[in-house]
Amino acid sequence: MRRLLILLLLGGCASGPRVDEIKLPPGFRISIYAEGIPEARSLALGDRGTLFVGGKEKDVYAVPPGGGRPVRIAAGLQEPHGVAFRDGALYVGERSRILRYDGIEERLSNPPQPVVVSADLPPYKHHGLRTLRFGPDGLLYVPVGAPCNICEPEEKYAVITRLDVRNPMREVFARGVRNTVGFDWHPRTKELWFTDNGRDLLGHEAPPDELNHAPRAGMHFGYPYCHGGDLLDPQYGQRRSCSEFAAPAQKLGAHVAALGMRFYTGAQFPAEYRDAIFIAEHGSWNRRPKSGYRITVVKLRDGKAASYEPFAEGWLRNDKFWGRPVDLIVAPDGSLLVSDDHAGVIYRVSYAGQ
Amino acid sequence: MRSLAMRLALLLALPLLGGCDLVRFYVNETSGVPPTKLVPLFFQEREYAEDQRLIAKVRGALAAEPGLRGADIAVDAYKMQVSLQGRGASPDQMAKALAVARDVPGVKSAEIR
Repeated sequence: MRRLLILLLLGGCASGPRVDEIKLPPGFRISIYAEGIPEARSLALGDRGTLFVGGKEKDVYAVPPGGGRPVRIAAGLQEPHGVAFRDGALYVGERSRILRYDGIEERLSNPPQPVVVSADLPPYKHHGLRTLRFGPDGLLYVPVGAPCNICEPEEKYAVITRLDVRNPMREVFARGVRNTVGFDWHPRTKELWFTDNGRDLLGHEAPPDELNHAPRAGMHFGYPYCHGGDLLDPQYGQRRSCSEFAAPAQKLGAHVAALGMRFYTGAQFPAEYRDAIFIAEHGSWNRRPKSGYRITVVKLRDGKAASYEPFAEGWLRNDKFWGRPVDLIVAPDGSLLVSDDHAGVIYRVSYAGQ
Repeated sequence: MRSLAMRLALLLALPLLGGCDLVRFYVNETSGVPPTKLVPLFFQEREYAEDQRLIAKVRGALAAEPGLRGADIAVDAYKMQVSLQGRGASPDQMAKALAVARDVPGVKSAEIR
Protein backbone atom coordinates (compact mmCIF):
# COMPACT_ATOMS: atom_id res chain seq x y z
CA MET A 1 0.00 0.00 0.00
CA ARG A 2 2.73 2.41 1.00
CA ARG A 3 4.74 1.49 -2.08
CA LEU A 4 1.72 2.17 -4.24
CA LEU A 5 1.32 5.55 -2.61
CA ILE A 6 4.96 6.45 -3.28
CA LEU A 7 4.59 5.31 -6.87
CA LEU A 8 1.50 7.44 -7.28
CA LEU A 9 3.29 10.43 -5.77
CA LEU A 10 6.28 9.96 -8.02
CA GLY A 11 4.01 9.60 -11.01
CA GLY A 12 2.20 12.81 -10.11
CA CYS A 13 5.43 14.73 -9.77
CA ALA A 14 7.08 13.45 -12.93
CA SER A 15 7.54 16.47 -15.12
CA GLY A 16 9.00 14.95 -18.28
CA PRO A 17 7.26 15.06 -21.64
CA ARG A 18 3.94 13.24 -21.40
CA VAL A 19 3.84 11.59 -24.81
CA ASP A 20 1.00 9.32 -23.79
CA GLU A 21 -1.22 12.41 -23.74
CA ILE A 22 -0.70 13.01 -27.45
CA LYS A 23 -3.65 11.97 -29.58
CA LEU A 24 -2.87 10.62 -33.05
CA PRO A 25 -4.90 8.92 -35.79
CA PRO A 26 -5.32 5.13 -35.32
CA GLY A 27 -2.17 3.10 -35.93
CA PHE A 28 0.23 5.96 -35.22
CA ARG A 29 2.57 6.06 -32.25
CA ILE A 30 4.69 8.81 -30.73
CA SER A 31 7.85 8.33 -28.67
CA ILE A 32 10.87 10.31 -27.52
CA TYR A 33 13.70 10.19 -30.07
CA ALA A 34 16.11 12.40 -28.13
CA GLU A 35 15.87 14.56 -25.03
CA GLY A 36 17.90 17.19 -23.24
CA ILE A 37 18.03 19.65 -26.13
CA PRO A 38 16.85 22.93 -24.64
CA GLU A 39 15.30 25.17 -27.28
CA ALA A 40 15.26 22.50 -29.99
CA ARG A 41 14.30 24.35 -33.17
CA SER A 42 15.05 23.64 -36.86
CA LEU A 43 15.91 20.14 -38.06
CA ALA A 44 18.19 18.84 -40.80
CA LEU A 45 19.37 15.31 -41.61
CA GLY A 46 22.92 14.41 -42.58
CA ASP A 47 23.75 11.90 -45.32
CA ARG A 48 24.48 9.26 -42.68
CA GLY A 49 21.28 9.91 -40.73
CA THR A 50 22.61 12.30 -38.10
CA LEU A 51 19.89 14.69 -37.00
CA PHE A 52 21.04 18.31 -36.60
CA VAL A 53 19.04 20.54 -34.28
CA GLY A 54 19.30 24.34 -34.34
CA GLY A 55 18.66 26.38 -31.21
CA LYS A 56 17.10 29.69 -30.28
CA GLU A 57 19.87 30.74 -27.89
CA LYS A 58 23.50 29.75 -28.54
CA ASP A 59 23.91 26.03 -29.21
CA VAL A 60 23.53 23.52 -32.03
CA TYR A 61 23.08 19.82 -31.30
CA ALA A 62 23.48 16.58 -33.23
CA VAL A 63 21.58 13.37 -32.52
CA PRO A 64 23.24 10.14 -33.72
CA PRO A 65 21.41 8.06 -36.37
CA GLY A 66 18.46 6.22 -34.85
CA GLY A 67 18.21 8.55 -31.86
CA GLY A 68 19.78 8.72 -28.45
CA ARG A 69 22.10 11.01 -26.60
CA PRO A 70 22.53 14.44 -28.23
CA VAL A 71 25.98 15.95 -28.72
CA ARG A 72 26.50 19.70 -28.60
CA ILE A 73 28.48 20.54 -31.73
CA ALA A 74 28.49 24.36 -31.54
CA ALA A 75 28.20 26.83 -28.69
CA GLY A 76 28.28 30.57 -28.22
CA LEU A 77 26.53 31.40 -31.49
CA GLN A 78 23.92 34.11 -31.97
CA GLU A 79 20.50 32.44 -32.08
CA PRO A 80 21.55 29.58 -34.41
CA HIS A 81 17.99 28.60 -35.28
CA GLY A 82 18.49 27.46 -38.87
CA VAL A 83 20.24 24.29 -40.02
CA ALA A 84 20.67 22.77 -43.49
CA PHE A 85 22.88 20.01 -44.84
CA ARG A 86 24.63 19.75 -48.19
CA ASP A 87 27.67 17.85 -49.56
CA GLY A 88 28.81 16.68 -46.14
CA ALA A 89 28.64 20.15 -44.61
CA LEU A 90 26.25 21.60 -42.05
CA TYR A 91 25.04 25.15 -42.66
CA VAL A 92 23.91 27.12 -39.63
CA GLY A 93 21.84 30.29 -39.78
CA GLU A 94 22.63 32.85 -37.12
CA ARG A 95 20.79 36.18 -36.91
CA SER A 96 23.32 37.97 -39.15
CA ARG A 97 25.54 35.21 -40.55
CA ILE A 98 25.46 31.89 -42.34
CA LEU A 99 28.15 29.45 -41.18
CA ARG A 100 29.42 26.20 -42.69
CA TYR A 101 30.87 23.23 -40.81
CA ASP A 102 32.68 20.97 -43.28
CA GLY A 103 32.76 17.19 -42.95
CA ILE A 104 30.68 17.48 -39.83
CA GLU A 105 29.34 13.93 -39.64
CA GLU A 106 32.85 12.46 -39.25
CA ARG A 107 33.73 15.01 -36.59
CA LEU A 108 30.75 15.26 -34.27
CA SER A 109 32.91 14.95 -31.15
CA ASN A 110 35.51 17.36 -32.50
CA PRO A 111 33.71 19.76 -34.84
CA PRO A 112 35.72 21.99 -37.18
CA GLN A 113 35.83 25.77 -36.94
CA PRO A 114 33.05 27.21 -39.06
CA VAL A 115 33.59 29.02 -42.33
CA VAL A 116 31.55 32.22 -42.71
CA VAL A 117 29.52 31.86 -45.90
CA SER A 118 27.74 35.19 -45.66
CA ALA A 119 27.44 37.95 -43.06
CA ASP A 120 24.95 40.32 -44.64
CA LEU A 121 21.75 39.35 -42.85
CA PRO A 122 20.06 42.13 -40.85
CA PRO A 123 20.97 42.63 -37.17
CA TYR A 124 17.54 43.12 -35.59
CA LYS A 125 16.22 40.69 -33.02
CA HIS A 126 12.60 41.04 -34.09
CA HIS A 127 11.88 38.10 -36.44
CA GLY A 128 15.64 37.58 -36.48
CA LEU A 129 15.66 33.76 -36.47
CA ARG A 130 16.88 32.49 -39.85
CA THR A 131 15.52 29.30 -41.31
CA LEU A 132 17.74 27.65 -43.93
CA ARG A 133 16.91 25.02 -46.49
CA PHE A 134 18.38 23.92 -49.81
CA GLY A 135 15.99 23.91 -52.72
CA PRO A 136 15.86 21.41 -55.58
CA ASP A 137 17.74 24.06 -57.61
CA GLY A 138 20.72 23.66 -55.25
CA LEU A 139 20.28 27.19 -53.89
CA LEU A 140 20.08 27.95 -50.18
CA TYR A 141 16.79 29.64 -49.28
CA VAL A 142 16.90 32.15 -46.43
CA PRO A 143 13.80 34.12 -45.46
CA VAL A 144 14.24 37.53 -43.82
CA GLY A 145 11.16 38.41 -41.76
CA ALA A 146 9.75 41.86 -41.10
CA PRO A 147 11.65 43.69 -38.33
CA CYS A 148 8.34 44.45 -36.61
CA ASN A 149 4.85 43.12 -36.00
CA ILE A 150 3.42 45.39 -38.66
CA CYS A 151 5.33 48.04 -40.63
CA GLU A 152 6.31 48.85 -44.19
CA PRO A 153 10.00 48.00 -44.05
CA GLU A 154 12.80 48.40 -46.59
CA GLU A 155 12.86 45.98 -49.51
CA LYS A 156 15.36 43.66 -47.89
CA TYR A 157 12.76 42.64 -45.28
CA ALA A 158 9.62 40.53 -45.43
CA VAL A 159 11.12 38.43 -48.20
CA ILE A 160 12.36 34.96 -49.00
CA THR A 161 15.85 35.23 -50.43
CA ARG A 162 18.10 32.60 -51.97
CA LEU A 163 21.79 32.29 -52.71
CA ASP A 164 24.38 30.05 -54.27
CA VAL A 165 26.67 29.18 -51.36
CA ARG A 166 29.72 29.35 -53.66
CA ASN A 167 28.86 32.92 -54.61
CA PRO A 168 26.88 34.30 -51.70
CA MET A 169 24.95 37.15 -53.31
CA ARG A 170 21.38 36.85 -52.12
CA GLU A 171 18.50 37.50 -54.48
CA VAL A 172 14.86 37.96 -53.57
CA PHE A 173 12.61 35.04 -54.46
CA ALA A 174 9.31 36.17 -52.90
CA ARG A 175 7.99 39.34 -51.23
CA GLY A 176 5.25 40.26 -48.79
CA VAL A 177 6.15 37.42 -46.43
CA ARG A 178 5.90 38.57 -42.80
CA ASN A 179 7.90 35.76 -41.24
CA THR A 180 8.16 32.23 -42.56
CA VAL A 181 9.81 29.62 -40.38
CA GLY A 182 8.96 26.62 -42.54
CA PHE A 183 9.09 25.84 -46.23
CA ASP A 184 9.50 22.85 -48.49
CA TRP A 185 9.27 21.90 -52.14
CA HIS A 186 6.59 19.61 -53.54
CA PRO A 187 8.31 16.30 -54.24
CA ARG A 188 6.84 16.08 -57.77
CA THR A 189 6.31 19.64 -59.02
CA LYS A 190 9.42 20.95 -57.16
CA GLU A 191 7.47 24.12 -56.36
CA LEU A 192 7.92 26.00 -53.12
CA TRP A 193 5.30 25.98 -50.35
CA PHE A 194 5.71 27.87 -47.11
CA THR A 195 3.98 28.83 -43.88
CA ASP A 196 3.66 32.45 -42.83
CA ASN A 197 2.70 33.89 -39.45
CA GLY A 198 -0.05 36.50 -39.45
CA ARG A 199 0.30 39.86 -37.72
CA ASP A 200 -0.63 40.37 -34.09
CA LEU A 201 -3.09 42.75 -32.44
CA LEU A 202 -6.01 42.37 -34.81
CA GLY A 203 -8.05 40.33 -32.37
CA HIS A 204 -8.31 36.66 -31.44
CA GLU A 205 -9.79 35.38 -34.69
CA ALA A 206 -7.81 37.36 -37.26
CA PRO A 207 -5.78 37.25 -39.30
CA PRO A 208 -5.24 33.58 -40.19
CA ASP A 209 -1.75 32.16 -40.46
CA GLU A 210 -1.03 31.14 -44.03
CA LEU A 211 0.12 28.20 -46.07
CA ASN A 212 1.38 29.69 -49.32
CA HIS A 213 2.36 28.33 -52.69
CA ALA A 214 5.04 30.05 -54.77
CA PRO A 215 5.36 28.23 -58.10
CA ARG A 216 7.62 30.96 -59.49
CA ALA A 217 9.93 33.75 -58.39
CA GLY A 218 8.74 37.33 -57.97
CA MET A 219 5.37 36.79 -56.27
CA HIS A 220 4.06 39.08 -53.51
CA PHE A 221 2.11 37.54 -50.65
CA GLY A 222 0.48 40.66 -49.25
CA TYR A 223 2.33 41.76 -46.11
CA PRO A 224 1.89 44.42 -44.76
CA TYR A 225 -1.06 45.41 -46.98
CA CYS A 226 -3.30 42.37 -47.08
CA HIS A 227 -3.59 39.42 -44.68
CA GLY A 228 -4.92 35.96 -45.46
CA GLY A 229 -5.83 36.95 -49.02
CA ASP A 230 -8.91 38.99 -48.11
CA LEU A 231 -8.27 41.17 -45.06
CA LEU A 232 -6.85 44.61 -45.81
CA ASP A 233 -4.62 45.90 -43.05
CA PRO A 234 -6.40 48.70 -41.16
CA GLN A 235 -3.23 50.80 -41.27
CA TYR A 236 -1.31 49.81 -44.42
CA GLY A 237 -4.17 48.51 -46.55
CA GLN A 238 -5.55 51.88 -47.50
CA ARG A 239 -5.47 52.49 -51.27
CA ARG A 240 -4.61 48.81 -51.77
CA SER A 241 -6.58 45.82 -52.91
CA CYS A 242 -6.08 42.20 -51.88
CA SER A 243 -6.36 41.22 -55.54
CA GLU A 244 -2.88 42.71 -56.07
CA PHE A 245 -1.35 39.90 -54.03
CA ALA A 246 -1.11 36.12 -54.00
CA ALA A 247 -3.73 34.62 -51.67
CA PRO A 248 -2.80 31.72 -49.37
CA ALA A 249 -3.24 28.17 -50.64
CA GLN A 250 -4.79 27.41 -47.26
CA LYS A 251 -5.75 29.68 -44.39
CA LEU A 252 -4.56 28.23 -41.12
CA GLY A 253 -5.88 29.00 -37.64
CA ALA A 254 -5.47 32.55 -36.33
CA HIS A 255 -2.31 32.91 -34.24
CA VAL A 256 -1.53 29.16 -34.29
CA ALA A 257 2.07 30.15 -35.12
CA ALA A 258 2.57 27.72 -37.99
CA LEU A 259 6.34 27.13 -38.08
CA GLY A 260 7.94 24.06 -39.67
CA MET A 261 6.29 22.37 -42.62
CA ARG A 262 7.33 19.35 -44.65
CA PHE A 263 5.91 17.23 -47.43
CA TYR A 264 5.61 13.60 -46.40
CA THR A 265 7.91 11.71 -48.75
CA GLY A 266 8.33 8.49 -46.77
CA ALA A 267 6.78 5.09 -47.42
CA GLN A 268 5.90 4.21 -43.83
CA PHE A 269 2.63 6.17 -43.39
CA PRO A 270 -0.61 5.11 -45.15
CA ALA A 271 -1.03 6.16 -48.79
CA GLU A 272 -3.37 9.05 -47.93
CA TYR A 273 -0.39 10.90 -46.40
CA ARG A 274 1.83 10.64 -49.45
CA ASP A 275 2.85 14.16 -50.53
CA ALA A 276 0.67 15.65 -47.77
CA ILE A 277 1.99 18.66 -45.86
CA PHE A 278 2.66 18.33 -42.13
CA ILE A 279 2.73 21.60 -40.22
CA ALA A 280 4.11 22.22 -36.72
CA GLU A 281 1.92 24.77 -34.95
CA HIS A 282 4.01 26.29 -32.17
CA GLY A 283 1.00 27.91 -30.50
CA SER A 284 -0.26 31.40 -29.88
CA TRP A 285 1.08 33.86 -27.35
CA ASN A 286 -1.59 36.47 -27.90
CA ARG A 287 -4.82 34.61 -28.36
CA ARG A 288 -7.47 33.57 -25.90
CA PRO A 289 -8.26 30.74 -25.73
CA LYS A 290 -4.85 29.45 -26.77
CA SER A 291 -4.61 27.68 -30.12
CA GLY A 292 -2.02 25.70 -32.01
CA TYR A 293 0.32 23.53 -29.90
CA ARG A 294 -0.28 20.67 -32.32
CA ILE A 295 0.68 19.13 -35.65
CA THR A 296 -1.75 19.56 -38.50
CA VAL A 297 -1.87 18.02 -41.96
CA VAL A 298 -2.90 19.64 -45.24
CA LYS A 299 -3.73 17.20 -48.01
CA LEU A 300 -3.54 18.35 -51.60
CA ARG A 301 -5.69 17.42 -54.56
CA ASP A 302 -4.75 18.53 -58.08
CA GLY A 303 -2.12 20.85 -56.65
CA LYS A 304 -4.58 22.62 -54.36
CA ALA A 305 -5.16 22.32 -50.62
CA ALA A 306 -8.14 20.01 -50.13
CA SER A 307 -8.22 19.63 -46.34
CA TYR A 308 -6.64 21.05 -43.18
CA GLU A 309 -6.96 18.88 -40.08
CA PRO A 310 -5.25 18.22 -36.76
CA PHE A 311 -2.86 15.26 -36.87
CA ALA A 312 -1.35 15.24 -33.37
CA GLU A 313 -2.80 17.08 -30.37
CA GLY A 314 -2.41 17.03 -26.61
CA TRP A 315 0.41 19.47 -25.86
CA LEU A 316 -2.32 21.91 -24.83
CA ARG A 317 -4.76 20.98 -22.09
CA ASN A 318 -7.12 23.28 -20.16
CA ASP A 319 -5.48 26.27 -21.82
CA LYS A 320 -2.07 25.24 -20.42
CA PHE A 321 0.70 23.77 -22.57
CA TRP A 322 3.62 21.50 -21.77
CA GLY A 323 5.18 21.33 -25.23
CA ARG A 324 5.42 23.33 -28.45
CA PRO A 325 6.21 21.69 -31.83
CA VAL A 326 8.65 23.72 -33.97
CA ASP A 327 9.92 21.75 -36.94
CA LEU A 328 9.50 18.35 -38.50
CA ILE A 329 11.46 16.17 -40.89
CA VAL A 330 10.92 12.78 -42.54
CA ALA A 331 13.50 10.30 -41.22
CA PRO A 332 15.11 7.75 -43.58
CA ASP A 333 12.79 5.03 -42.22
CA GLY A 334 9.71 7.11 -43.06
CA SER A 335 8.85 8.16 -39.52
CA LEU A 336 8.35 11.82 -38.73
CA LEU A 337 10.75 13.56 -36.34
CA VAL A 338 9.42 16.63 -34.52
CA SER A 339 11.33 19.19 -32.45
CA ASP A 340 9.86 20.82 -29.32
CA ASP A 341 11.61 23.90 -27.90
CA HIS A 342 9.53 24.00 -24.74
CA ALA A 343 9.93 20.40 -23.59
CA GLY A 344 13.44 20.30 -25.11
CA VAL A 345 12.95 17.02 -26.95
CA ILE A 346 12.69 15.42 -30.38
CA TYR A 347 9.67 13.14 -30.91
CA ARG A 348 9.38 10.30 -33.36
CA VAL A 349 5.96 9.68 -34.90
CA SER A 350 5.69 6.29 -36.57
CA TYR A 351 2.99 4.16 -38.12
CA ALA A 352 2.63 0.61 -36.90
CA GLY A 353 -0.58 -0.38 -38.66
CA GLN A 354 -4.08 -0.87 -37.33
CA MET B 1 10.11 68.96 -25.42
CA ARG B 2 9.43 65.24 -25.47
CA SER B 3 11.27 64.68 -22.26
CA LEU B 4 11.10 61.48 -20.31
CA ALA B 5 8.90 63.20 -17.74
CA MET B 6 6.44 64.22 -20.45
CA ARG B 7 6.29 60.69 -21.76
CA LEU B 8 5.82 59.23 -18.31
CA ALA B 9 3.03 61.68 -17.56
CA LEU B 10 1.34 60.75 -20.83
CA LEU B 11 1.70 57.07 -20.07
CA LEU B 12 0.09 57.56 -16.67
CA ALA B 13 -2.67 59.68 -18.12
CA LEU B 14 -3.58 57.20 -20.85
CA PRO B 15 -5.72 54.89 -18.72
CA LEU B 16 -7.57 57.92 -17.41
CA LEU B 17 -8.16 59.27 -20.90
CA GLY B 18 -8.89 55.94 -22.53
CA GLY B 19 -10.81 54.46 -19.63
CA CYS B 20 -12.54 51.15 -20.19
CA ASP B 21 -11.79 51.13 -23.92
CA LEU B 22 -8.10 51.02 -23.31
CA VAL B 23 -8.40 48.31 -20.70
CA ARG B 24 -10.61 46.34 -23.07
CA PHE B 25 -8.09 46.84 -25.87
CA TYR B 26 -5.31 45.57 -23.66
CA VAL B 27 -7.20 42.48 -22.54
CA ASN B 28 -8.63 41.63 -25.97
CA GLU B 29 -5.72 42.36 -28.22
CA THR B 30 -2.95 41.00 -26.07
CA SER B 31 -4.91 38.16 -24.55
CA GLY B 32 -3.75 39.30 -21.14
CA VAL B 33 -0.11 38.68 -22.01
CA PRO B 34 1.81 40.07 -19.03
CA PRO B 35 3.61 43.40 -19.37
CA THR B 36 6.88 41.57 -18.60
CA LYS B 37 6.54 40.06 -22.06
CA LEU B 38 4.92 42.94 -23.88
CA VAL B 39 7.30 45.68 -22.74
CA PRO B 40 10.51 44.05 -24.07
CA LEU B 41 8.66 43.24 -27.31
CA PHE B 42 7.59 46.88 -27.58
CA PHE B 43 11.16 48.10 -27.24
CA GLN B 44 12.49 45.37 -29.52
CA GLU B 45 10.10 46.45 -32.21
CA ARG B 46 11.02 50.12 -31.83
CA GLU B 47 14.69 49.45 -32.63
CA TYR B 48 14.11 49.27 -36.35
CA ALA B 49 11.66 52.18 -36.51
CA GLU B 50 13.94 54.49 -34.52
CA ASP B 51 16.94 53.62 -36.69
CA GLN B 52 14.90 54.37 -39.79
CA ARG B 53 13.92 57.77 -38.40
CA LEU B 54 17.54 58.49 -37.56
CA ILE B 55 18.71 57.48 -41.05
CA ALA B 56 16.20 59.93 -42.52
CA LYS B 57 17.45 62.71 -40.25
CA VAL B 58 21.10 62.06 -41.15
CA ARG B 59 20.26 61.96 -44.86
CA GLY B 60 18.49 65.28 -44.45
CA ALA B 61 21.47 66.82 -42.67
CA LEU B 62 23.86 65.59 -45.38
CA ALA B 63 21.61 66.93 -48.13
CA ALA B 64 21.48 70.32 -46.42
CA GLU B 65 25.29 70.60 -46.24
CA PRO B 66 26.55 72.82 -49.10
CA GLY B 67 29.96 71.11 -49.28
CA LEU B 68 28.34 67.73 -49.86
CA ARG B 69 26.15 68.70 -52.77
CA GLY B 70 26.20 65.90 -55.32
CA ALA B 71 28.10 63.48 -53.06
CA ASP B 72 26.60 60.00 -53.12
CA ILE B 73 26.72 58.75 -49.54
CA ALA B 74 24.72 55.78 -48.28
CA VAL B 75 23.54 55.98 -44.67
CA ASP B 76 22.78 53.02 -42.44
CA ALA B 77 22.21 52.68 -38.70
CA TYR B 78 21.83 50.01 -36.06
CA LYS B 79 20.74 50.96 -32.56
CA MET B 80 21.49 54.63 -33.27
CA GLN B 81 25.03 53.90 -34.45
CA VAL B 82 25.40 55.36 -37.91
CA SER B 83 27.60 54.10 -40.71
CA LEU B 84 28.31 55.98 -43.92
CA GLN B 85 29.44 54.56 -47.20
CA GLY B 86 30.76 56.85 -49.89
CA ARG B 87 30.07 55.91 -53.47
CA GLY B 88 32.47 58.12 -55.33
CA ALA B 89 32.62 60.80 -52.61
CA SER B 90 36.08 62.29 -51.93
CA PRO B 91 37.91 61.68 -48.61
CA ASP B 92 37.31 65.34 -47.72
CA GLN B 93 33.62 64.96 -48.33
CA MET B 94 33.51 61.78 -46.23
CA ALA B 95 35.28 63.54 -43.36
CA LYS B 96 32.80 66.39 -43.62
CA ALA B 97 29.87 63.93 -43.78
CA LEU B 98 31.13 62.18 -40.67
CA ALA B 99 31.25 65.46 -38.76
CA VAL B 100 27.74 66.38 -39.94
CA ALA B 101 26.34 62.98 -38.98
CA ARG B 102 27.88 63.15 -35.51
CA ASP B 103 26.07 66.42 -34.92
CA VAL B 104 22.64 64.99 -35.67
CA PRO B 105 20.69 64.68 -32.41
CA GLY B 106 20.25 61.03 -31.40
CA VAL B 107 23.35 59.74 -33.18
CA LYS B 108 25.40 57.70 -30.71
CA SER B 109 28.36 57.22 -33.00
CA ALA B 110 29.19 57.53 -36.67
CA GLU B 111 31.78 55.71 -38.72
CA ILE B 112 32.79 55.15 -42.31
CA ARG B 113 32.14 51.67 -43.56
